[in-house]
Amino acid sequence: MAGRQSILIVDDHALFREGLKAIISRNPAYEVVGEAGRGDEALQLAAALRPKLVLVDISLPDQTGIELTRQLRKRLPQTRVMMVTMHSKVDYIVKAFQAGATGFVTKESAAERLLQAIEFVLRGEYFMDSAMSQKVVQKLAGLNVAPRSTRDPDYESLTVREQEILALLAEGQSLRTIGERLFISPKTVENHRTSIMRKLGVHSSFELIRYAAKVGIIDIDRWKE
Amino acid sequence: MSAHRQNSEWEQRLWGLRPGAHVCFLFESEQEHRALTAAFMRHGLERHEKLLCLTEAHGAEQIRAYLDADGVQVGPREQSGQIRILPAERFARRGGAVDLKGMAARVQAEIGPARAQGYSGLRIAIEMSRRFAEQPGPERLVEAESALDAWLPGSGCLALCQYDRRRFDAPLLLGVLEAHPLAAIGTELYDNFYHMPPRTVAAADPAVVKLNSWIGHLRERQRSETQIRTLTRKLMQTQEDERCLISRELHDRVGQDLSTIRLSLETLFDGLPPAAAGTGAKVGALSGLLDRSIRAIRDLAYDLRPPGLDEMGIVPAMATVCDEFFEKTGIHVDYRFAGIEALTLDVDTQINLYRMLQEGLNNIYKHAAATEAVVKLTAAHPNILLRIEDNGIGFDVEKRAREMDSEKRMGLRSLQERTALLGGVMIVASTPGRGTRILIKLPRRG
Repeated sequence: MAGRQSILIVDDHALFREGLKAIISRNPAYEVVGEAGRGDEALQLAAALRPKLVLVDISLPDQTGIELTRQLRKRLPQTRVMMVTMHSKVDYIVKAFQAGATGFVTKESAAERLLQAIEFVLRGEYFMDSAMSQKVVQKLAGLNVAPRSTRDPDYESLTVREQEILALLAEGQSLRTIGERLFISPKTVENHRTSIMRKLGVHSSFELIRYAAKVGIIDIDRWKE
Repeated sequence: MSAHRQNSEWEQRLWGLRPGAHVCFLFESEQEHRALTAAFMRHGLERHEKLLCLTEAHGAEQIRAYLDADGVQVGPREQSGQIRILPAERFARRGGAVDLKGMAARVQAEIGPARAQGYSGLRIAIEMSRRFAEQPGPERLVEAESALDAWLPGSGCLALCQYDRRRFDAPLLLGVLEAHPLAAIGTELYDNFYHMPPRTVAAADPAVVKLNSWIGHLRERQRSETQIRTLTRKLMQTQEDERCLISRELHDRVGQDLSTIRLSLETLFDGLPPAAAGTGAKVGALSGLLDRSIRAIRDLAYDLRPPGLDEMGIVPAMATVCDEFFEKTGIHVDYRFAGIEALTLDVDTQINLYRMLQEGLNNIYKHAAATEAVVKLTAAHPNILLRIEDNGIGFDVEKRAREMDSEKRMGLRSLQERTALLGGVMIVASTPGRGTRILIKLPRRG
């Protein structure tokens, strides 16, 4: 037993687990110590068995494998996690690594790459399916050209009321009109405006409108004309 | 002869006319007149009805020629009395004067003898004489039509009243049209919602009847539109559900099983005596084939249902659409999301936003000849704004709006439908040569 590296398999397809076990058994240094078809089962087993490595499928009946990975990493920091999944989208890979996985293999690559992947991951290195890694690099390369602005913390810090008022201000409506429309006093609207400008870091009505156009609240062309 | 009937949709509808039908046929060309009139007569003969054909500008010889060309043996049928062709004016004239009331009565008198002769019914094809509108006058003509209209239901007869639009003025045609429950324009047959039901009570005020009828039509139209909207929504929902189901089956079942087979194939001979020479190569080839199938299944599943929408949310999923659009088309998409991650959107809104982006980008790829596109999705309480813009060739918005009715412009139309389903508005701004900007404004739900 000593020296054999313990592995837990989490996948809801029993036959696929059988296939993984058959592959793993080719290397006597590894031992499959347990199997689970669900996330909750996997957490219990992992806590009891403290395996060196957990192989996790992304699609599980009770939770996503990514969420399971996060839990495993939190509770058992010594245990490594590798995804073995049908999914091949870059976003999944990114999410999996962010959750703490250190390996990613698609199911169709498992036959050829699983043992190599396990070796890497147990050594403490990262492993990514070579078919995937190309896509990931392309994606990363693309990032330099077009920064992914999927979040805007400044804008997200606005309350819904402030969002509403920003839109009306950007359309060029006066404090009084806005107040009438929202049943609040012009003074309150002005307070909101001050707060909006502080949160967005803008210092004039012109900058406010430019900001609104930038994030898409108003149409820049219409505004230009 | 029946071959004609299956030829076209309009002829199938015409074949569907039943006794009691009263059709106002407005035609503007000889082809239109010939097509509909000849088919109408032929259908009657096929059903063993008696045919009374009252002619005007198109004389008896021409009518005979129509039928003859369609393979009808006109002579023998005229001799047997199944076909009777005579000028409308002669039929209407009594004692030297045109008597339309009498004419209507004489038409009605034909059904008895026709039945007695063993015919299944009476089919009347009348080409109206323009002189009827001069003498005795338009009111009399409309009255005669109304009399026919009141009599036809339940009579066992059906009538095709032919009016040459080039020969009658509009006020008369309006009056005549109101006296027919069915209208044929060119060769299209319509339920005539301008029909004014024959006055059942002599004292009923025509204006009241008309007003009630119009109100009925307004309601009916509203109902139909609501119904269409409901059906469209259902259709889109069903399509989405089906896609989701198929995608899941493909990905989670077929793909999984293929992967399992692929994996098991790999270790099939583990622990067994060495297999015959060449087996390894065969297994290798099969494995390669399986790999291809798995990839194809996965791509198809991803196409059918946006991957990650459920697990990762709308923003990464839409960003991926933009990235992949660039990879596929080379059209660079500059996208920006503001305030969306902080929202919890219902699944319906999410999937529709996702599809609208796909459709919008697809339109750009197919029609815009653009090099750059901009996508902005912004939460601007109480709305969600989706902007899809490009620097392509643009188009004439008004012209395109008209074309949207023809099915070719499904892209914009489908965007419009989805927007309406979510209770939003879509604004399209475009100038030829200066790109296109689409703004979709949806009320925030969920």
